[in-house]
Amino acid sequence: MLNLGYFLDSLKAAVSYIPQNLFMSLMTLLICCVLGTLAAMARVYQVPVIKPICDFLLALLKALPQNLVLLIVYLVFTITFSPIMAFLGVKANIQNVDMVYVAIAALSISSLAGVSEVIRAGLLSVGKGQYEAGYTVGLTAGQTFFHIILPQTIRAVIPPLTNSILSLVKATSLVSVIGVMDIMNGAIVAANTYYSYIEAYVAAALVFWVLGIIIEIASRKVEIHFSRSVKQLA
Amino acid sequence: MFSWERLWEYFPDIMAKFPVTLRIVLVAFGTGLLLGCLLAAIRIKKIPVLSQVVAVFLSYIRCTPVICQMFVIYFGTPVLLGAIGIDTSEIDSVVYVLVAYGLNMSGFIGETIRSSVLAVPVGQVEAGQACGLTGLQTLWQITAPQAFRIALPMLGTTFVSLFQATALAYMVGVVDMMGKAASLGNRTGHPLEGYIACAIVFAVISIVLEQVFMRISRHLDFDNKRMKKRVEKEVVKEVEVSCSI
Repeated sequence: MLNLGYFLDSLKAAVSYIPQNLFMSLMTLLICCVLGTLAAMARVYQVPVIKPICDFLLALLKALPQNLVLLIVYLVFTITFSPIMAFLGVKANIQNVDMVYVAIAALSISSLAGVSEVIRAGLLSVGKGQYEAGYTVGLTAGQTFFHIILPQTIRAVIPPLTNSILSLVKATSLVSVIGVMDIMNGAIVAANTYYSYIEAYVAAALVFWVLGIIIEIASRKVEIHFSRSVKQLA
Repeated sequence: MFSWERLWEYFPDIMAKFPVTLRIVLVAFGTGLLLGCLLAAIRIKKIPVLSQVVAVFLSYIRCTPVICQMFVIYFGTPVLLGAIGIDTSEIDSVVYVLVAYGLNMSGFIGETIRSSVLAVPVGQVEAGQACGLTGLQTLWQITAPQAFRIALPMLGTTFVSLFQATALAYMVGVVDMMGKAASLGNRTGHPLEGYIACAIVFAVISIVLEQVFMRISRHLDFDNKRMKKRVEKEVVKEVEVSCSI
């Protein structure tokens, strides 16, 4: 059965990697929010040429398993790194590149579709009258967007985005396929000495579980907070 | 570097492993539907003790990554069964994957079923009872068909995400499409083409599945247009009210 000593070793190692997982998921969220907003705007406002490209790319990214995207991005990166650096005339060794950033790039690519969909729904939730109101008082299109539409979109988007943080944190457990250390990988490495893998995975699951519960409680609080402000306005 | 010839050469080998993936998806989804109904019933009827146990199970399934759940079952089952004297060395690793994904799906599908059943208006059940139907008849003839229509879009999304999640099964030694791509890559030293072949298969099938589920949902959504009109009228009324104030 479970050996408590090995379990605690793995648990300690897993806990020490929590900041790493949170860093990766928050960076991913940040990148996805910026790119996702641009893609969502292109789709909502029917920008010619860019809209069909975004439609196609997002549908494609949504259709790929996350660990497969990680593997492909990693392989493409390792194959093309030296030629590109040689072409740019930069002396860089691939050993000096922190793979965490490759992992973040890959996670951003595979999570982009979901986040962009949330932001698109947020943009669509702002009524047409809001644009008209902005134009009526003499604001330009840009002013209307930044002063009237964007604040309302952010309010609509934050509760569902807190939910996607949970799935992003879960997705960071996949980075072990390209050898980046995280909660799960940390627990396993601590288990390698005694082959105590069952203890390691239970420890990793426990850490993820606690993290997930905290995120769920926080997102419920956020949801209540934001729905309250909507009621006050109405 | 990338070569199209190798991609072409790998493709038949990888496609040959598609049935393995399909089997995992179908068995896990079937298990998920059956167990999910049970979990949903326990949660809706609020059966004491069991309902709390199910809530903890659902929280575990929701909050931990499926890769972790898979490994816990893969390493944990032999330890548990070994303790009561059952030899597990003969069990194929695909069985652990089926169990892990089946449990995972029962959690997600159970929540979908629960929310769909609760979304059917209470008046429907009362109408059934008023007509003299028994509890089971009401469930089977009134609640279930309506709940199914509500659940279908969510079930479709779950199905597609399950299909994509099976790309992890190769990590416990199941030779599916990903496992084949990895072993081809190891043998030839060119792993990229194999994974791209997998990506093509996953992308095409996911997109087709999504379209199919969307068509079915739209087909079953009888009162969609009427609903939309009603919602629009409500919104107009609200705007008028707020303008008049």
